[in-house]
Amino acid sequence: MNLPILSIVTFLPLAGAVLFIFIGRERENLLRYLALFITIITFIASLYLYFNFNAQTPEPQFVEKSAWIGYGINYHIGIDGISLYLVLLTTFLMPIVLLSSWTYIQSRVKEYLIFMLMLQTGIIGVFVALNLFLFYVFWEAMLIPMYFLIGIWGGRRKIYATVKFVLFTMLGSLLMLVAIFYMYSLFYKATGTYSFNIFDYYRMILNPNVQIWLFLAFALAFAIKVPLFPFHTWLPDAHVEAPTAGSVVLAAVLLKMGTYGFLRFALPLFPDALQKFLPVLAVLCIIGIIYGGLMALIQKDVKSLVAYSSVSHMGLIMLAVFALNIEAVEGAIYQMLNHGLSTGALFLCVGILYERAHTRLIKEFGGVSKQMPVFSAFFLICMLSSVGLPGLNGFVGEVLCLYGVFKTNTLFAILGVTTVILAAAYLLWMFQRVMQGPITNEKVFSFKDLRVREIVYLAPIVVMMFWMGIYPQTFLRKMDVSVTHLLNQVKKKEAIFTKAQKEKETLPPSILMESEKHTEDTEKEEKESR
Amino acid sequence: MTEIFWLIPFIPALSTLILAVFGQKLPKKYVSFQACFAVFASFVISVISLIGLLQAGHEHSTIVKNLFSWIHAGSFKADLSLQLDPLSAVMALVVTGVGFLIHVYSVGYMAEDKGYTRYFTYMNLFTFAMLVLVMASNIVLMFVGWEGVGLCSYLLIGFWFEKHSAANAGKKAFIVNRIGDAAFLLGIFFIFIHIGSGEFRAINEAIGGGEITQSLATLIAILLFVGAVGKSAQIPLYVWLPDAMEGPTPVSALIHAATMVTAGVYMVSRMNILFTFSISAGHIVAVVGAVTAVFAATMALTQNDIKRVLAYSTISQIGYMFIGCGVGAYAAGMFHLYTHAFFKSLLFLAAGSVMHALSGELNMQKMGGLRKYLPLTYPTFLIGAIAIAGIPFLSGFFSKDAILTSAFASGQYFVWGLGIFGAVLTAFYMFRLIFLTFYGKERLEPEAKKHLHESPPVMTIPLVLLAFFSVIAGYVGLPVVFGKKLDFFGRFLEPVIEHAHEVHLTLGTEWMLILISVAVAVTGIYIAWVFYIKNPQTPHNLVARFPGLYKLLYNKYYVDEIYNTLFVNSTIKGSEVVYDHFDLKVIDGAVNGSASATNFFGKVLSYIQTGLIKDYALIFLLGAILLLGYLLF
Amino acid sequence: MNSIYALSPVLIIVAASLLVLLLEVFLKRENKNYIAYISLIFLIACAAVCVQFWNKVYSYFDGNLILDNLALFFSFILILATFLIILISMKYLTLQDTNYGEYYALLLFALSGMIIMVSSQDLIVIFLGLEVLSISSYALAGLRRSDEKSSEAAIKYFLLGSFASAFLVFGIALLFGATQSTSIPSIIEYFQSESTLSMMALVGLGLVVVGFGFKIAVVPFHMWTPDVYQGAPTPITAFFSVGPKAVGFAVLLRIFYPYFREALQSQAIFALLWIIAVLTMIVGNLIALRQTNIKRILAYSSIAHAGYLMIAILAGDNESLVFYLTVYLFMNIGAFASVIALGKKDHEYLELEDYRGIGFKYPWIGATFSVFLISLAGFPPTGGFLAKFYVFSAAVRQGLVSLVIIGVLASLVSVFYYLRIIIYMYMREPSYEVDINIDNPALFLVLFLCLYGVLQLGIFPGNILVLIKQAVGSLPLL
Repeated sequence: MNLPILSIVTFLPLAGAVLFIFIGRERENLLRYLALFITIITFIASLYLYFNFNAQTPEPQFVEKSAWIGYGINYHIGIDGISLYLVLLTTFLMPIVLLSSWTYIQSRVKEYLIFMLMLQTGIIGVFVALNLFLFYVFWEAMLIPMYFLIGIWGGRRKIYATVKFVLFTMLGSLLMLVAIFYMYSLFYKATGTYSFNIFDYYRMILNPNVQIWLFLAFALAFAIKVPLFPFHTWLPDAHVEAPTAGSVVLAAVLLKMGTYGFLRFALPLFPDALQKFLPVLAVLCIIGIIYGGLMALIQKDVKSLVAYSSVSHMGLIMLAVFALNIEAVEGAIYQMLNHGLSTGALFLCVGILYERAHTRLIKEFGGVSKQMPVFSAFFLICMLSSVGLPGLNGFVGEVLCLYGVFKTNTLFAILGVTTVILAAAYLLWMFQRVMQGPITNEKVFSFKDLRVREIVYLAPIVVMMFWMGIYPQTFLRKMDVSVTHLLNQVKKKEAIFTKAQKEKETLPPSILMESEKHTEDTEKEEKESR
Repeated sequence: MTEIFWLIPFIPALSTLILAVFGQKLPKKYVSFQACFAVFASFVISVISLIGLLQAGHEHSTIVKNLFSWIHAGSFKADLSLQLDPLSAVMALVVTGVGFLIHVYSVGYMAEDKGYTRYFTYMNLFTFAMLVLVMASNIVLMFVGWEGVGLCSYLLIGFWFEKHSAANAGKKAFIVNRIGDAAFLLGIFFIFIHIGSGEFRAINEAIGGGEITQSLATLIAILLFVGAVGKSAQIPLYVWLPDAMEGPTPVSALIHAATMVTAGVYMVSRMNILFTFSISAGHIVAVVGAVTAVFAATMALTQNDIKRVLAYSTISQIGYMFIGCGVGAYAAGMFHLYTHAFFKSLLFLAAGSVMHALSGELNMQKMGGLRKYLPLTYPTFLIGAIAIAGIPFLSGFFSKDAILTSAFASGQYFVWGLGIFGAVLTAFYMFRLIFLTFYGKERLEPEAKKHLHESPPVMTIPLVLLAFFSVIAGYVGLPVVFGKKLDFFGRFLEPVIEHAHEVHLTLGTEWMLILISVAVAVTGIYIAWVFYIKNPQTPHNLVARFPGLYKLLYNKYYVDEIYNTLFVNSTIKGSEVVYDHFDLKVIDGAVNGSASATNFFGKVLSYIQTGLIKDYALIFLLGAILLLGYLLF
Repeated sequence: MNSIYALSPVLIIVAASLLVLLLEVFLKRENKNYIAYISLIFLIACAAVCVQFWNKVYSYFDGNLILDNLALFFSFILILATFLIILISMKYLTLQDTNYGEYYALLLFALSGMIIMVSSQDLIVIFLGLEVLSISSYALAGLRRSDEKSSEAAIKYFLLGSFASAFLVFGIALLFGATQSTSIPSIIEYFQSESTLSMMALVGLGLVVVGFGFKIAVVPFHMWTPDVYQGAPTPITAFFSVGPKAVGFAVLLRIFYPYFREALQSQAIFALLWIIAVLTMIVGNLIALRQTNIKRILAYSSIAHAGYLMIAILAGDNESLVFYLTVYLFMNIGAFASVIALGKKDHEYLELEDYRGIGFKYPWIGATFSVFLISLAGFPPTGGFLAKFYVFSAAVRQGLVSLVIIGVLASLVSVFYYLRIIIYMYMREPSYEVDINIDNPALFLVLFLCLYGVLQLGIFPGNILVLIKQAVGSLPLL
């Protein structure tokens, strides 16, 4: 069937958002149900992607391509074994997120839902875009709804947080934009044709000295997004101030855009520069792991505790990415999903507490388990999944990441393993102070246990946690080929550089790798230019 | 019949699932029935499998059942596959057997508890995890069980989470274990890198084939052993176990005496080829074991909390097991593990029954003369004590003797000496416990005395059974002096445990060693009798004589305090400082600083905009002049 | 092809303005709107003519006045601008009682002046057009006699404007002295023939830059902008921010584009424009951070945008320049229209504080205004993004990487103050009641048109790009 399924998955939410404009703001429940319906449909559609995904080929699938603006700017989307799961993660979490904010968002429901739907399109777009221009468009466009979500429905310091978030992110992405332009012109000089097609760019072999700058620009953008230490300070603010749904999306998906960016662009495009900066980056990751863990240990606000735990976890993921071997990278991707689920779930749990207590200060709680046994069970599982307990998803990713890192650099792995201890420390301590012990704050007595709706949106996550922990092959199988391909690309280019260095030959700013044929993309461009 | 052995862990798993999901709606009676039945079923299957193994004989004494491939990524392959061999069979038997009795006991013990269902859910979950641990055919899966039992102990220690102390103890147990686990994980990685597989058979073959160097083997062994130290509460990671007594007593019996804490010993025996291959690793194990055995025993001397005494005694006994493994007598180590499972759980359950009788009283100073009130608890308790003290013809004697003999045989006399000394202390503190609790004049609280009663049969029957086993369990492994072939236990384990440097002692030496250990035990008991029956002032005099020593022992060498100041508080304080002065001020400061700097420049520049037309014209002119000047020169 | 047709656009506009002046005498004050309608009709007619003439190059006055595609394209967007301006003025004038007939007449005169400028090849003629534009602009700026800010604006604009004109004339004179001609093609010929430029020529060129630098408001010739923008009636401000800027750049394009490609790279004048561009972007954006008056913010923002446009000039990439101007027209007029929308009888809401909570009180105005601001800030998928995208990528292609980096950082700063307005509209609770007169269909039409323009240009700019290709195609290629 030649239904543009991927475009549907991408733009259905946006279409919904547009539709919403014409629905009266007073019909809030209609809006809510409609939004939920749309996101669920999107999810189902994305399942189609999973089931019809061919795990045997590294080539992008469900590719859609049509000329758009010209000058190499095409509408070109597709997914491979790496992006597939990030898309699924997004579509899977969106309905959950909407459910979670069902009652929490009481004011300006219409705008809220519109922004949520826009956000979803933006995020999915980032993961499916195969044209750098398109990628950048989504990458930036995604900021706007997030800006409003934090700014309008956020907490006390919402404006500070949201402005910080937007400016910080843009600082990185704007420099990346310049780098993109530079590659664009390099490609033009090399071939005489315009192209933003990443597969064309993969074929470029850039002069190491050029690479350094381009890599730095890209790396900065992604490092801020991840966030790598020391670019992390926007994260706690954004997380703490954002409404629950915002935090969930932020932690679960937005951060992944950074790691994804590294995998999709920074690694295969600039392998040589990557090699140069690898030590620095790895060290930053390790600092992030330990530092984030220690900071999480002493946070007074549950949300910022989880935020710093994200810093720590993402550090491990990046460390694995930089290990550049199949175990590590698969582990990293897997861990992205895990982190999406577990941290997302933790934020949901915090949100549930907040809806009851209207505070997130740890010292305000204590003995909640007594009042909310069911909730405490869910919270416990989510926490353990984040701690990386075997049998739950976290362990699989963590062990693969660490093992991969271990293969390339034992010392880094040994330092990285501390996350196993730290995670247990800060999470269990938090759990103890919030959920266990005697009830100190009489407000707690008034807490009601989970409502059906809350169980409904927590349950799927927990199920996934067990599934991904007990039978990870479901997911690992389909990423094998793509990851191998990616790593081969990197290796192949590195080989060329090492050769060049041996023969002391200076590479031109950019040449094309012979072997592969022109993609039809550039051919079309040539026709245009003639 | 043996093929179905892979069901052993999954029956409790299924039961857990059912209880976890529907538990709240099910009637209490059913809950307890299902929980106990699940364990019992596994027990039956274990027995069947064991018999199967016995018939099968040595050559095909290992059956592996690969259920499905779990993690496959690159060179990292771990399957969900279970293995049945003498070692796992014995462990499965202990876990399910003792586990079953303790489940039954719990029915009575937890009868009034609100968290009844939750309790049995956790207990079944634990049984499952523990069985995975012992039956895993590869080290990654073993790690799953390893952490799983850790989780259960966290949950069960903190079972009464409303109590600060309980919640704290649970957390402490988990985190301390995690420290060991981290090392364990690294060990696993090393194995994967250098051997390329986590399957035990592959590992053993590789090491047997000399694929790895001595030093690497040592490194791996030590890393794994650190894990064991965490799990089995040895120096320096034992601190969590005494606190773990916050949990319900049956939990202490099952997890913190009979099964989980001995997982370390099991793991070492499982990897015995590795530990034998690396001589230094073996020594380290032995020494750590010996030192712990004595160290813990000394701390047990002065405790008044009946359960804590038993806790320290557990630590010390596990120390013995490690001595066994360390000196290459893995069979002896496992043997002691197996006997210890009976008499230590017996002691705990008996202690629990005492508490039950005294409505939760734990302080021995508030007991005494209980033997007439607790006609069943007392004798069983006594049997346990005798067994652990190492009086001949009870299980403890055989196993402990086996260990000490091999220690002596291996020529590590220092270790052996420590062992002997530990034995004195063991005998002493156990009988101190007995005398303080059941003899002497009553020091009961009137409140407690009012409804003082023997426990219901559901609790006492398990006691009796365990007592019975504590007596006879030893006869499967008689000392060499009675002829080699009578050591069924050792022979049974032979296929999985290679015999390291067999040193044959003359019969004379053997007899001498036996006599020594007996003498030692008797001495210990005699001293205890002198102290607490003959003239009960002696302890007080001693305390008066050496107050410092007493304080030191009484406060457990202040280890907890030291750890707290050294690691816990310093970390927290340090992090707080970093957070306030680095994260907020420096890093975030830089971010906000750049913003305000930009703003400041804007302010400065906006001063130019005076609004006075003459200034405008002036600037215009200056601009033009500069521009022309630039063009010309 | 030499033909009288070449004059028709100008003639139509002039005719319209005269007619309007005449009618003004006879019409009563309350139905002055007819004047607006009439001028609108004329504008449409004129636009139609421009469309008719597309690809037919008419010229007259032996080539001094030439309607090549570039001229036509610019005339068209200028007419469009004026059209929109008139639409937003109609209600405004009655509300802020500046309802004088000469308003439209002056607007049309200014337009005619601009059309002359874009469709001329001769500096003298261009100067002529410039004066027509300027003088009517001075008058327009001061149209709100009652309001002394308005008069102040007029005076400032007038004085500095004539100041700039003087420089321009002098520059032209020097160029004539150096090249014996005032027609751009021959001047360019001269430049290309000479290996090193005579001092006279250089100074001439520099002064011309100064002259136009004033109109397009680049640093340091920008000082007038904020005050005039603030003082002048808001529709006129919108007009200033779009019309003269576009014209200024059109002329610079005519003068510099052919001259650039290889010739100028080395020359001092290049470095000069480089510095001007940087200063303009930095100063414009930084000062805007401090403003609290919407009109002043937009004034500085327009300065900053002039900076980005200078990058296009430096990159010698005419397409991106023209595209940017086109987008800029829509988003800027849109922004000002939104500002005007928030007005009532004898009062305009111009302080940031007034904008608290507007976004939810008047969702449509809030939403459209946000889109325009987002576009000005250069977020996708709006025209603003694509415009910046083209300019910057062209510049990078020309190797102006450092300039582009400064550019993007400057635009990062700009993001702050654009989003600041949105913050007020959506994220702060209103402190006092803001009631506005919203029965203003013409204005909403404009808002809609601009919104459409911004999005169309941002998402599917294809056709416009083709037109622009053709338009700049008429420039002499080298």
